[in-house]
Amino acid sequence: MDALRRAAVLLVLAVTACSSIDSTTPAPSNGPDNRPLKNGGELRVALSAEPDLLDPTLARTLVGRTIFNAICEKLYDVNEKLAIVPQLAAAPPEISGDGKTVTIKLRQGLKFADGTTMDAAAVKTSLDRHRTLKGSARTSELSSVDGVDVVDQATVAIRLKAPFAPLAAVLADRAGMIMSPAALTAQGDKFATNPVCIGPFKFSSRVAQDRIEVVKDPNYYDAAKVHLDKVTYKIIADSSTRFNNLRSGDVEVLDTVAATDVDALKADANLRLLTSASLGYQGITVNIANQNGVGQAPGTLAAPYAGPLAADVKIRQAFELSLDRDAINTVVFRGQFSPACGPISPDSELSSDAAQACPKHDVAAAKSLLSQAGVSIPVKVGMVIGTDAQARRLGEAIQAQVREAGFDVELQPTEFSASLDQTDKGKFQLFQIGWSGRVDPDGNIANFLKTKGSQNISGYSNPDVDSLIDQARATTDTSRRRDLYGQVITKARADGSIIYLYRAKNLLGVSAKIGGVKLFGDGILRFGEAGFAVGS
Amino acid sequence: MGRYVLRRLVESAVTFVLATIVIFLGVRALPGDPVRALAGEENDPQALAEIRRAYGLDESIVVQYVRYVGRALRGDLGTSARTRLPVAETIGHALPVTLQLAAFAMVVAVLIGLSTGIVASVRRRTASEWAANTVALLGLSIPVFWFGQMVILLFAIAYPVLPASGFVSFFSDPVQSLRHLLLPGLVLGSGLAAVIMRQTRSAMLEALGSDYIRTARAKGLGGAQVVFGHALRNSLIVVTTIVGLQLGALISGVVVTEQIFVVPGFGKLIVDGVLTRDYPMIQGLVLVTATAYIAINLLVDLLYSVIDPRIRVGGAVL
Amino acid sequence: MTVLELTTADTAAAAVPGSRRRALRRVLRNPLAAVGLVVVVVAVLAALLADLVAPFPYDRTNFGAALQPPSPAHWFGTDELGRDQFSRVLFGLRASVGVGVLSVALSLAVGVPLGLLSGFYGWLDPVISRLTDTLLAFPFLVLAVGLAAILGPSLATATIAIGVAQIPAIIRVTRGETLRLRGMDYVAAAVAGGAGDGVLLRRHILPNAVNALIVQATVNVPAAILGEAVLSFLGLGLRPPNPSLGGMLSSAESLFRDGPWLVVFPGVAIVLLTLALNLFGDGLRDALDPREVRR
Repeated sequence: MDALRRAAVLLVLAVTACSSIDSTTPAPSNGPDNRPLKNGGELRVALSAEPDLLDPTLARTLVGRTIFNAICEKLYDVNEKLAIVPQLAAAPPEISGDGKTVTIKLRQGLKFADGTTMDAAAVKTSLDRHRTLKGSARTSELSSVDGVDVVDQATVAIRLKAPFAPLAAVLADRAGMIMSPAALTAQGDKFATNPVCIGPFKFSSRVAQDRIEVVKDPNYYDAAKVHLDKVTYKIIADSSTRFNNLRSGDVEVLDTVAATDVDALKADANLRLLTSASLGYQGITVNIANQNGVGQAPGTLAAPYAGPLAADVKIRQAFELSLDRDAINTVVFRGQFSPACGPISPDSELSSDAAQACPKHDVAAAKSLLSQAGVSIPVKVGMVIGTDAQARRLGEAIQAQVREAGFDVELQPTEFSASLDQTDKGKFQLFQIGWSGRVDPDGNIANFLKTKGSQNISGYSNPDVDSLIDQARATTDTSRRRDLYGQVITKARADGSIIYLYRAKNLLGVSAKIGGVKLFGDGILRFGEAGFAVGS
Repeated sequence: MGRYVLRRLVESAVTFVLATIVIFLGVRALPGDPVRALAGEENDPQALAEIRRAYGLDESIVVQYVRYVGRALRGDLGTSARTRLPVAETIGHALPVTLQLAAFAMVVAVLIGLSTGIVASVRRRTASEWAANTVALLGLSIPVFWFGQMVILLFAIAYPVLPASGFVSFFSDPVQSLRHLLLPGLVLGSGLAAVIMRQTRSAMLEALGSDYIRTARAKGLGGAQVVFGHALRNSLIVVTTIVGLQLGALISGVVVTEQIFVVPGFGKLIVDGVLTRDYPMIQGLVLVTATAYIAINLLVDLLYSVIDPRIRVGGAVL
Repeated sequence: MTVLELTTADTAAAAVPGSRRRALRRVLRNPLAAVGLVVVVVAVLAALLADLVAPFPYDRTNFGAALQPPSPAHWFGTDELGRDQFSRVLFGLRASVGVGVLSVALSLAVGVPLGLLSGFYGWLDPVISRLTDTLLAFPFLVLAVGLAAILGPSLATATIAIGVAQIPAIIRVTRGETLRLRGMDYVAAAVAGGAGDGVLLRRHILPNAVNALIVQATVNVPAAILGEAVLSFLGLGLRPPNPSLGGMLSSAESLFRDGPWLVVFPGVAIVLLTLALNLFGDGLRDALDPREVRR
């Protein structure tokens, strides 16, 4: 009897392991998770890459923002709807009539992890450091700021050179993180090795290329809501290895699940998947006129980078028409992502029909555009791609699709940092690259499409687009901005400096034992209210 | 003798200097601006220039080199461009990890290599020899990354008896440590086992064919006694030196093995360092490897010259 | 003793082709080595004839027929882009064999002359030996990864990276053999007979060093094939859409659950090929080893 039961259990296990049908009742996936959580425990998180400096002023990597979320809160934050809400600030920013003074009220009585008190002077110190420290990665985000004044102990006023609508969004990111002035003085340029801010957790230790540990901060104003004693972030670059660690129980949370692992993850009763639509996009940037380097005036391309795609907008349109975004999504990403034709997420409140307009896959139209342009077929063009398996697969799929219309794409796999360097200098024809995305659409548009923009590696320049972007920055009226961004995108799409391809999803694998993990569109992992479920 | 030691010391010093030059220039020949790599997704010309200045990357290459060597000799390998932690400290964390992994892999390799080597030499031209050969050579014929993934799937996921990743120091918790080391040790050791098998086998064959073994047999000593008491003992000297010189192979294996098993050691630092263009980190890592290699070579040569003075004539040929 | 050495060495020098033929016969008496040789020959033929044998072009995609299991139409199934896996394995075999052979050829072309010079001319020896030592001080993968990063991933890069990393071993073996042979009496006799340096190196030393080099090469070819696989794993292998066995294996890794056949076939192919090479190499080494002759 006993043996029989054991055999039956084994059979069930085998069936559940092999099929994707869920016969058990796992923790809710993506739905509300209201299980009671117990206090204590260590959460182990697998990150896909090593964060850089743990200094909000100097940090540049995307993955670092997840660590900061645990230890460094900001003046503002976003909620699950990506609306901006006060975090260390007590209220939304008050903007003066001319739009050039922004007053921010602060919460009172908050303590940094070192026990010192946060006040307006600390906020001014932090913002000034973000703006002026040598090597600061925040200077361009805060370039519109002219100065910061302490109004009283709980109020600061930010003076702007010109009205800048995205400011609140900027202060909801690293530029809004407030550091302990005492720690800044004590540690000088070593702040990154022991950052002190306000957060549910405080920095504990870091072993390079291996792990970062944070522990519960008793000084935190909401410490009563924090369940976990400790969070350990492990760095595991290879996606299969990362997934194996989640399945074997060596970690409880997995950042960036590979699209190819999603089905297996869903099938595993011990795991669940959290998803959110990414704020960013992936696409192909066409080098139109980047002859002098990014940020410089556009020039005329020379060999070997000049070519029909750079020269003729019709050929860029033909290239886009020959792409089948749905097929790419199905074949390369197992249908997990969604096709994208513009820089703004459809979830953004500033999105519009114009922002999401998308041409249909049409090989015949592509062919006729090519014959109108009078180029010899096949049109040869080189495309820089990444070196990992997924990037190669995407490149191969694109190559196969555009071949039907008459393009002969040479794939040039290039290691990431080398590719950035090379494309900044304009040494490329096509580059498959994306952007992680910002809450305010300005962060997805201005640097990429404005003439001499800091990320405009295409060398694209259209005075109309420049002026529309500036107008959208200067107004805080939502419907006006929505309309302006729609116009920007319509014009820029027609010029084809960036061929948008797809919008990824943030995919987070979580052990069923864990509850309270939050994942919003910004892709940042939030563990402030996470914990082990009672009974796990 | 004294002159030989002196000569080898001078030679090693020359090699060391050449190695530092190669490291220094080689790292700078890597494409991709390290400053751009530091800047990551974002890009701001002003900030880039400041990073360049902060890391002394705007100086002439000769100045940078002299400065680098001067500091390295004082044990200062600089600070990692990415994490701003001292490189020497980071390597200090990683080195014991890799040494423990390597030591364990070596045990695995010696166990497999010696046993298959002995079987292959004693049971000549039988199915046992062929089986032993094939087993040992299999380790040399499977791509390490694939083998690694397969054992994880088998022993950590399908039959979860061992952890899929991580590392626990042997000195803090021996049992946990061995559990963590077993899979990476097996994967890393299997490639070396074949090398040891080959050496053991040929050394054993030579020993078994030599006069003193024949004498021992003539004196009526039994098979096992001859094999283990005499032939094996004499073969071990050769095998030991070969094992000592497998450092290079071991480090290449470590790079992939640590990547797959997420072991926070030397190999993982190397790959991550190269991928993030962390110049100070790569320089430090390769410098430590090269120094270790040169030192071990020197040591083996000197040891040999004591054991067998004839070696000196031929120099350091293996 | 001296007399005896002279005769053996002279016979060896005179009868090199014959002795190698005999060695080959001895290899084939070793069943493992014989099987190894057969597998290697089949693999090389398949690689050379890939254009004729393969039922599809290696880059013909068919999104509608992606991830199909093995069938009469697609013997090894199809991959995530619907490409015929059997054809890709054949072309992958070609790339892997190509990298193996070409990189070893490169290391021989550079390493043998340097080794001969180093062993023959005492004054050159310190220079070449220090350079060799320096190169040896860098682990193979570090060198290969560095070179692949500098030159950008491609078949040529992988070949050069692996070939360069193998040069020191070739120099060392050649130098050692040259030193050994130069001390032989038959070489001294040739010198007394008025033979110039060139003649000595070409006629008397190189032919006798070949055995040691063959043995070294049989170790290096499978190592190079696996080296390419590791470079592919690190994203530094061939340019897509060109397949290599290692590249197929590393990209299939993430598709393991959807298409196990994608892992199995290239995996089996690469293991069989390298194992066969290693088995044949070991057999050859035994057969060429003079000590084995006596037994």
